This record gives sequence, structure tokens and C-alpha cells, in this order.
Amino acid sequence: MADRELRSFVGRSVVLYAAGTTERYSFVIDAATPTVTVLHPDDVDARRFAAKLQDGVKVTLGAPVSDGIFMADAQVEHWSPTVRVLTLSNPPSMQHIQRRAVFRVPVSYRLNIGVQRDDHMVFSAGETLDLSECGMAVMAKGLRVDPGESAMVSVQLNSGPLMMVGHVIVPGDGAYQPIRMHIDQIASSDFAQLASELRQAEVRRVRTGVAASRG
Amino acid sequence: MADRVTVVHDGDRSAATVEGELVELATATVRVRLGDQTELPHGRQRYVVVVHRDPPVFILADRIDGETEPQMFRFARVAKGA
Repeated sequence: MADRELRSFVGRSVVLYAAGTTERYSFVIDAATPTVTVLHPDDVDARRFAAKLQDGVKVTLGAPVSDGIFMADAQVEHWSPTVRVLTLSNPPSMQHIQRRAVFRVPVSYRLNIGVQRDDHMVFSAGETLDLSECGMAVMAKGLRVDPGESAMVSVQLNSGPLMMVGHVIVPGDGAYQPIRMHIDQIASSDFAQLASELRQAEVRRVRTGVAASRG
Repeated sequence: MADRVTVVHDGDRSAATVEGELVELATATVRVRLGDQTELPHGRQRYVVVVHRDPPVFILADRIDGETEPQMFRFARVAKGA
């Protein structure tokens, strides 16, 4: 994927963080010219972060995409507390960094997740928010899991049920935040079935998008 | 004392389970003894065998025919694909 101009991200959420730190703060790009970018903080934490930034400090901008992230270093020009606007010097372009070998496809399939609790299995019904050949984001209300915990997952694809074993990467909160899982065990034939179904879903999504843009 | 196992398979609308105990856990296969009169559904080949240890061991496996001993079932691990 080629690098992109920062102005192509106007209206989108990006993350901002200072060099040498791990805390990320959410901002929305209001405007971008070839020389400056104007952003507003998305929440209180981001506003506090912006208020501490001194003019001339280097920060990193990140814009997540389906298979990775666009990143660029920029310099703080000014934080305006009254209008809550942060102005950055514009980097020449956003560099694409591919983090994932596969695309997450936003598809909704019913599923069952089984985890061990006190020497027996507990199952929860849920649905996928996105799915790839390597993992998935799952909403299963009421299910609390721990990072690294193994789980059995049965996904009801259009072509039939598919059983697999995975482990939890992000545990979610059992209510609104999805559980992110990595697939550890899947049969070779099921892997081909999953890949085929994901390709069809992606094609449907693109066609729908094209039809909507024409309409 | 043998480890307890749960054999999970896809039911009509939700996952169904059968309880038993672990007999042998090898690199490629796993043998379990299920409860008296327990039958696994006909025509169903794919299962997840969960060995209740700390942490638990989850094994995606296909059932293999040929066990002659009563209530004994054998499964072969399926290839890791992701």
C-alpha cells in the first residue's frame, strides 16, 4: 500500500503520542494543508495530553487501517486551549506500515465460545464483528475472559459451522468492548472454507460500496 | 487419577458436550473414555477435546474409527492452519 497524504485523513480519528512513550491519545483531524494539520482532542485524556505539549515538540501520528497503520512524525506548532485545537507541522506523507498479513473483514456471524471454568466448559453465544484467516473480534455479552486464555469457537458461516481453537488477545469488557482472538488450530479444509467465505464477503462489501456511491 | 475431559461438538443450535476421562495423550492422537452408554453423534467427525488441567489443553481433532474397547474413543489432531 502506498504512502498517503495526511489531508486524506481529514474527518477521521487518529492516535497521537509523544516520542518514547506508549500512551496513545485520540484526536480527529479537522483540516490539513500542505504545511499544517489541525486536530481536536477526542476526549478529556487527549485534551490533557495536548495541554502539556510544548511548541516544537515531536509527536507521532498514527491512523489505523484494516491491515496495519499509517504513521508519520510531526512537530507541535501550537495548542489553543480556548478553541481546543492542536496545530501540527505537516509531515510530507503518512508512511504505511503493514502489521497484519491478512485483512480483517467486517462480517457478522453467529458463534459459540467455550472456555473452561472450574473443571467444566461454559459456553456463550455471540457474534463476530470482524473476521480474518488469523483471528476475529467477537461480541459475547456477559463472557469474561483473560488475556492468553484458550477457547473453543464454533462459527456459523453461511457455508456451514466451523470449529476452531484460539486464544484471547484482548479480553474485552463483557459488554461493549469486543474480545479479540487469535486462531491457533483450524483444519486445513476449514481454513480454505473460511478464506473463500471471507473473499465472498469482501467482494459483496465492495460491490455494495460501489452501488451506494453510484446511487 | 486420570484427567477429566470434555468432548465438544456442534449441536443443532449450540455446542454440545460429552464428559469423560483421558486415557492417552500422544503427539498426534488422544484417547478418551466416555461415560457409560455415551454415544457420539453419527456422521459428526470434528470435535474439540478439552483436557481439564491448569491451564486447560484444547485439542481440535477428528474422530478415528476402529476402537474395539467399549466407551473408548480415539481422535487425531488436525493440522494447524493459522
